[in-house]
Amino acid sequence: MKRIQSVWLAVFIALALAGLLTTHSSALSISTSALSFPNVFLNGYDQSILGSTSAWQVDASGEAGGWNATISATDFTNGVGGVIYVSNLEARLADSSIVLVSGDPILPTSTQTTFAALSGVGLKFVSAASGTSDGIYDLTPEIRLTVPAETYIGNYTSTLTITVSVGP
Amino acid sequence: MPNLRSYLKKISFVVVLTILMLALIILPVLAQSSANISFGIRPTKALEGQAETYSYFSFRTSPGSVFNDEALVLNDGGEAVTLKVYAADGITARNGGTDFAKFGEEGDGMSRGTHAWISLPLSELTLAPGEERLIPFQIAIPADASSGYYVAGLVVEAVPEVSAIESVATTTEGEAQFNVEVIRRVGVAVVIDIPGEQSSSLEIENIALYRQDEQGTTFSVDLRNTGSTFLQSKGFFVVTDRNAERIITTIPLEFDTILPGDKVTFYVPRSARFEDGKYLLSVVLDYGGEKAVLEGIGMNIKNGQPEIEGQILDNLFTSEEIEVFFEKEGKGDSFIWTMVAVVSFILALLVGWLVYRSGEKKEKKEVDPIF
Repeated sequence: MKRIQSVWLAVFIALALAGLLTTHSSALSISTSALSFPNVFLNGYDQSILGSTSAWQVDASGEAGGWNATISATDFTNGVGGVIYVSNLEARLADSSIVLVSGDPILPTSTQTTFAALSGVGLKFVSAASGTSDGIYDLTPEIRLTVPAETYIGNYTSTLTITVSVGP
Repeated sequence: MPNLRSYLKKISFVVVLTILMLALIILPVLAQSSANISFGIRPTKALEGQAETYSYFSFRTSPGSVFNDEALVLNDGGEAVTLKVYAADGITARNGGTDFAKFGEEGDGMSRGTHAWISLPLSELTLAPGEERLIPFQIAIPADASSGYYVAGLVVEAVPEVSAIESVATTTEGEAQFNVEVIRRVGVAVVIDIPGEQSSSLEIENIALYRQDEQGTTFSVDLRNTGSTFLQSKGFFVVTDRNAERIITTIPLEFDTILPGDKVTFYVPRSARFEDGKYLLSVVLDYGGEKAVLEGIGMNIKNGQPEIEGQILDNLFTSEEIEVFFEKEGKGDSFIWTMVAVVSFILALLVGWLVYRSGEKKEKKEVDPIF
């Protein structure tokens, strides 16, 4: 009986300490994985390629006021005058690609389930209403690049900006 | 002495068990956060009666005022992180909701230039794993600022990561390769409400067919907040035949916040394609009891190729007909809630009856002993 009491005491202390250690201070944050595209052999036709990335994780633990995440991008340039306009880069997030890691089981919702072109202005792709989605969630967006037929060979670079925000 | 030994034994048992359980709970969290850098920013205090200040900064103040506050920047990841810290203009994201202008850029709406209202003592900081730091800042409202809601932001930004560089070596003749730099930012809004005469006004500027493919159809709707308050809207995207005699589809809309003065594109998906033919597209929206309408935009689909023809017909719907759209929706909601209430009541009666019956049986058993 005493052994059982000790076990319960240990469970209580462990939970209390874990709570203190993991929630003493939190703020909305996002961690993203690298995004890569396969090389493309230029054959004189438009070609679409899908980027590969693993899940991006939003930690909204303790954030009950609602939040959203946006994605924006720049043109792909190769440094010697070659440009692939950012409108060729598209993103979407299927609702099934939002997965609960821990916390509130009410998942944030995708606000862009079909492909939309990226631009310099952020595209909101996921959001959580006030009072929901206070937890950690994995998001795996799909990103597609259309390589136009007239593209020159070279090493192209674009900058993607992912912003997670709280606001009205 | 044996008592003390037994007592110590018990304590060490509890301590070991606690450590083991703590490790079980904490290690997955640590492993998760050390996999990637993770950082954030938030207010340090909330104001009574202003629930939003738990999440972001919100001030009601007058032109010319100067005041101070502080933000908490923290590194909750497993490795040290260097962050750029700056104030930014609040902007509206495509699909609505608050976003922030990039470093060195400005917004287009009423909040343009608000980043300059905020002074920060530093522009960059490095935080060790688990470290947090208070960043004081000062807000100075220009003396000539007009009434309305303004949004600035405090943004922390990590140094970009470059991906796909490793594929350089494998490039062959005639190939193009693509690298992506990823900039991660976390932003917290600083809302400034300058009291005075405020207006609430929404314009639907354009409706277009964004894409039609095997996945379905996506329309785009351009809205502009021409007032001085935040606007959210609800309504319908309505597709009719060319004579506006038959409604082909109605898509419910719920558009997130548009900041004052901003123009925003919202994407409206539909999981089916439209057949060849001529259609009229209309959008009716309600924002705080007011209505915004753009109707009768022509869409002609020929051999699967859609073409938008501009406004062909106006006064498609009378104001009474527009009200009917919203009433129908309201009635739908109230019907569902009435059904939920009726089912809950019946279930409660059933549970009550079962409890009463089981109590009755127990009583009977006590009165009529078996032996």
